[in-house]
Amino acid sequence: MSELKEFKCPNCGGILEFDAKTQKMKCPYCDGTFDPDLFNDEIDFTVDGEQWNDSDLVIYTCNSCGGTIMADKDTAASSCPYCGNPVVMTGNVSGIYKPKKIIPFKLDKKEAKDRYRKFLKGKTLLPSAFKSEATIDEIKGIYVPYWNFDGRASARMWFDATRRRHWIEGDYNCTEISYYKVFRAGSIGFMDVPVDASSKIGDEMTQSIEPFDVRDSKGFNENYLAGYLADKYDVSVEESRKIANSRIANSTASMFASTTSMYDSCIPSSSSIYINQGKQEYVMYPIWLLNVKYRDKIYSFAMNGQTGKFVGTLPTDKGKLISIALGVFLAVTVALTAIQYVVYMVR
Amino acid sequence: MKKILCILFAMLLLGIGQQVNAEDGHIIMKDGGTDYSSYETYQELNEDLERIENEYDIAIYFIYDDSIENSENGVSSYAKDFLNRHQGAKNTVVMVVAKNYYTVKTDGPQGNLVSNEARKLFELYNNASSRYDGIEAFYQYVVKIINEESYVSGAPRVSGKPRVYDGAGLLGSDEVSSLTRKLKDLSDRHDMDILVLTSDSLNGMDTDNYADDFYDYNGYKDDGVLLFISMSTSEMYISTKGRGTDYITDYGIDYIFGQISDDLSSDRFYDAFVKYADLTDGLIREAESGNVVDVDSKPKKSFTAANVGISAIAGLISSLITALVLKGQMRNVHYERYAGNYVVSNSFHITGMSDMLVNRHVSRTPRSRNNTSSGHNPTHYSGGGSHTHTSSSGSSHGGHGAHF
Repeated sequence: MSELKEFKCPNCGGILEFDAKTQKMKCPYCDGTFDPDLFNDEIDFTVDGEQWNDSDLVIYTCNSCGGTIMADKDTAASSCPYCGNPVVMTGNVSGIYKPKKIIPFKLDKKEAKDRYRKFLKGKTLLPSAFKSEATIDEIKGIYVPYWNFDGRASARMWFDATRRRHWIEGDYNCTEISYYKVFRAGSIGFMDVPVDASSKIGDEMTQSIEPFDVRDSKGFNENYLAGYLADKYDVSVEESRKIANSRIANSTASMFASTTSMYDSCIPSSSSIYINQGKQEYVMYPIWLLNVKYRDKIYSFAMNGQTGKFVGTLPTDKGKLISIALGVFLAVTVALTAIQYVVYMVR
Repeated sequence: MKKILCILFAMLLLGIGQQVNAEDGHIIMKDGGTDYSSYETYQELNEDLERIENEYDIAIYFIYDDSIENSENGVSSYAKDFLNRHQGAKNTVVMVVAKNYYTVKTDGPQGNLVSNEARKLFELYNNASSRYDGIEAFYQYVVKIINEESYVSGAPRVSGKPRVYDGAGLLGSDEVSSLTRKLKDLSDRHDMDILVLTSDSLNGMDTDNYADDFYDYNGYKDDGVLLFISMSTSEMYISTKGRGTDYITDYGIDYIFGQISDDLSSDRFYDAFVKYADLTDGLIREAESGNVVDVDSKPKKSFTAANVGISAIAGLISSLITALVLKGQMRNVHYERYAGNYVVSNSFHITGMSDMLVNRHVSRTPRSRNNTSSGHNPTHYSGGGSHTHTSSSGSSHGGHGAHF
C-alpha cells in the first residue's frame, strides 16, 4: 500500500490529479497543468510569524453576530462595529498570529464624517428625507486584517486573431481577412496583493476601498491600536490565496492580451498561467466603518483610513427614479419631434 | 486604307441620315441653302406633328428657307410644289416662310377654313417669343380650326362645369358632393380647374384624348388638372393644361400615381380622389412658392407617426441611460477582479512570441451603384419638366397615364 499524498493546485488551491495522457499534474478546477517534478516536496503553506501574546490587548465577542474584535485595554468597545449589538470582553489575545506590518490611520473621524456628507452630495435619487432623517449610528476606526501575497505569474497563451484589410478594385469592394495563431509567453511580478482576512466585513466592501499604499506601512507595534479597534483574522491563508491568485491570473491574462492590440480581433484560445508563490504576510490596514440608520434600516459605508476613498450603497427613491425617467423620456421625445417638424417645415 | 474607307462610309451614312430627317420631318429649316434644323431641336414638335397626322389625319408642315425666291410668286410656287410632293393625309397644311414673304397652302376638304385664317396663322408664328413657340402656336391653331368643324369627340359634353363627373358611378352621392366641395375650394384658391373624371367606356378613344377632350370641350379654364379613371382599361390618367402643366411635371404625376394606385386597385376610390386633391394642392403650392417638384427637386416626405416613433425610441434610450447613470451613482461598491494595482514595475517580460498566419481569405462584393429605386411606373424624365402634346381642340396638354 502506497501512501496517498495530495497536492494542492498553486493557482486555485484545488486538489491536483495526475493526467496520464499528458503525463502532467492537472487541476480539475482551473485546468492548470504542472510538471510533476515541482511536487517532489509538498508546498509549505504555513505562515512564518510569531504568536501573539500580549496582555495589553483584550478580545471582545459579539453575542449577536459572533464577530470578534480586539482593542487595547484602554479602549472600551461597547458595541459591535458590524451589527451594532453589544459586545462582551472574552479574554486576552493568545494563540493567534501577530501582524508583520501595519498602515496607521492617516485620516480621523471628522474626515470620515466629512467624506460621508460629501458622498451624499449630487445623488439625485437619494430620498429627500435621507439627509435630515438619517443618523450616523456608529462610526468606528478598525484595523482590518489582510493576507498580502507576492507572486510571479508565468504564462503561455494562445490567441486566435484576425486582421482585416479593405480596398476597392474596379467595381468591387474587397475585404481580406487574415487569420493568425498568436502565441505569447512571459512572466509578470505582483507584490502585496491584499485579501481581506476577516469574514465580518464583506469582500466587496474591502476590495472597493483598495488600493492601500504599502510604502507607508510600518513594522507592527501595539501602540498603533490605541483608540481603534482591531479585527482578528478568521479566513485561512489557503482560502485567501485563491482570491489573490485569481486576481493575479486575470490581470496576467489581460496584460498578455494587451500585447496583441495590432489585431482587429483577438480571442484567447488556450492559456496556462502558473503562479510562482512569493512571500505571504499578515498585515493590518485602517478602515473607517460607518453605520447609518434610516427608517429602521442600517446602511453601511467604509472609508479607506489611509487614502480617504469612500464607498457604500445609498437607498434609491423609486418615485424619483420613475418620474425622472419619465420626464427625460417625454422631454427628449417632444424635443426631437419638434426639431424634426421644424426641419420638415423649413426644407 | 481600311480606316479611311470606314470614316468615309460613316460620313456618307451621316449625310444620308440628315437628308432623310430633313425630308421626313414636318419642320424644315434652311438658312443660305444649308439645313440647320437639326432634328433634335424640334424633335418634340415633330413627334407631336406626327401624332396629329396619325390621330386626326392632318399633315402639317412648316418650312423656313431664305434661299427661296423672295417674292410672292416664289413662296407660292414652292408651297404648291411641296404640297404636290406630300399627298396622302385627308388635310395637308404647309406654311412656307422666305426672307420677306410667307404663304399658307392647304389641300383637303377643310382647306378653305385654314386658308381664310392664313394671316392670323402667320401672326401667331411671328408674334411668338421664339421660333419654337411660334411653330407650336401655328399648328395648334390649325388643328383647332379643322377639328372644330369636323371632329366629334367621344368624351361626354356636360354643362355647368362639374368638378366631379363620375361617369362610372364609383362614388356615393355624399362622396360626390364632399369631393366637389373640396375640389371647388382648391380650384378657387389656385384659380385653376382641378377635376375628377371617371368612365366605364372610352367610346373607342384613347385615354389621353378622352381626358383632354373632356377638359377642352366643356368650357373649363385654360389652367387646370384632371384625374381620369378609366374603369374599362384599369387606367389612371392625369391631364394638365396651362399652369397645370407647368406645376405638375411628369415626375409630379408619377408621384401622385404612386400615392393613389393602391387605393384605386383596392376600390377605395373616394380615398384616392381625396389624396389626389391634397397632393395636387401640395404640388401647386410648392410650385407657386417657386419650387416646382421635379426629378431633381423631389417632394418632401410627409411628416408622419414614424417621425414621432423615432423620437420616442430615442427618448426611451436616453431615459434608460439617465436612469442607469443616476442609479449607478447610488452604489460604488463592487468586487475587484484584477490585481493591476500590484504589478511590480518593469516586471512584465515577454520571453516568447510568435504570430503565425494560418489562413487568408479575400471576398469581393460588387460596389453598390447609385440605384435609386424607381417609384410607380416611371416614365423617362429626360431633363425633367412636362412633355406636352396637342389635343384635338388644338390646345397643348401635359400628362400621361398608368395602370392600377
